[in-house]
Amino acid sequence: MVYFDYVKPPTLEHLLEGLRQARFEGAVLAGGTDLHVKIRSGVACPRVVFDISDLAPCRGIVEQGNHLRLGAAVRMSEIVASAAVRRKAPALAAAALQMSSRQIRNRATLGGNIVTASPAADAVPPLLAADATLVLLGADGTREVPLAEFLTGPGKTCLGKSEVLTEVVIPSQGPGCRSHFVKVGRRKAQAISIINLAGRIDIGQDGLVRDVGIALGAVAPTAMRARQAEKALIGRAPSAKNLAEAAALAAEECRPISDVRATGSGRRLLVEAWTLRLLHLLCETGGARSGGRNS
Amino acid sequence: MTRQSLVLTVNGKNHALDLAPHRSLLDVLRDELGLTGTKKGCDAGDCGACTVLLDGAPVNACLVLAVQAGGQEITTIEGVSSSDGQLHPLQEAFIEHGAVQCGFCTPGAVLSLIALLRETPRPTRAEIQEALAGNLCRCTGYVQIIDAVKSVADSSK
Repeated sequence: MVYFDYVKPPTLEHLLEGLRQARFEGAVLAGGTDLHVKIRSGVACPRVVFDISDLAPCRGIVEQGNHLRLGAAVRMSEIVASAAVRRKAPALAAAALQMSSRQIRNRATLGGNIVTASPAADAVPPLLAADATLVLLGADGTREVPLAEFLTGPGKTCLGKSEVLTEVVIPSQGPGCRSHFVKVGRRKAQAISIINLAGRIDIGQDGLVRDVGIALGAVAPTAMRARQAEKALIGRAPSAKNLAEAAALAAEECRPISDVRATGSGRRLLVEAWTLRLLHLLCETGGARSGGRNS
Repeated sequence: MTRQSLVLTVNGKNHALDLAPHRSLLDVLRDELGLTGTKKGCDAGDCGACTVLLDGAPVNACLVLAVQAGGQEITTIEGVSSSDGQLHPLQEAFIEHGAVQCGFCTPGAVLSLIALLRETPRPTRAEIQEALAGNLCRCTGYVQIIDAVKSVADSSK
């Protein structure tokens, strides 16, 4: 068993100072659903654990202009319950609802899901498809980093040792825009995703695709945008043929590995089939605005 | 490592404790307070055997540090029966419907479902399944458990 000190910093300044003093032996605790397991198994061995679960600047869900700002310590159950998230980032709400079990959703946080940097993290594709950015606070102040640049590999991010993720900033979904999330797992609950994906689409008055974001999880070292598929759709009609072509491109550009959950080639087949279904859901008239539960 | 003093409120009773911060709420409930109704299964948040209610919400006690639970209302299986020892109606229904075999998952399942019934007094089967998704049973199966919940929900008009 690893012994550690437990500190609940009252402010972000106290947190930064604590992390500085702990040098490289401090860990930030938000929900603890990953950290406690890592400590118990010896993967993480912090000397000091800094609990931010009640730290006010990391706890808010705030609509600000065309953006939704979510604190890093906002719990999945709070995302599920938030009318603002359901309205402005429905794919994220759908992902939070499908994550793990109630017990885990009552503890696990948005920031933890991002910082843990699992390629299969369910909250990441909706954020990536929406071009979310992260607010990182360090001794030299804050910097805002696109999520796509933050994730650098499995379990790896560009977060500095004495830096903290404080907020996630999501461009709000406009009135004509739709988004959706799909998780493919062994069971509906408590399963690490074999693949997961999220899409966001904006179709103009002329019936052509004005903007589209497709993000794929668990098929590359980090969740990735299917840029070729997106490029093939922009400015074109969302016809069955064009959607099928985009789905095939997504399957081509992903880089899945084989592991205990699926083979690489199996994942590629899933990407094509589910990207196609996702795109059809996004382009349907009516319904499907808040993302459904799939497996 | 600095020990921490705190008060845990468990089933309405306050307990003053002096704890090493690494100890999970699960271990403290079992080993310090003798409340062994909360079971230790996987100790990693997968099985749900250690489910307790924190301010009414189900959580895995293995994934909460005891020092994090100070100031919150903790409910364990020992706290769901009435003070005269009368079982909770859902516990009676579990017995009635044969929803208990080895019993290891039962305390956690009962707490998850009590939380559901407080929020949704007349749940559908799908809602019951969803509420139970984080509680693994490896012997009786879930059908009897769901029937037990349905019977309680149907009788509470």
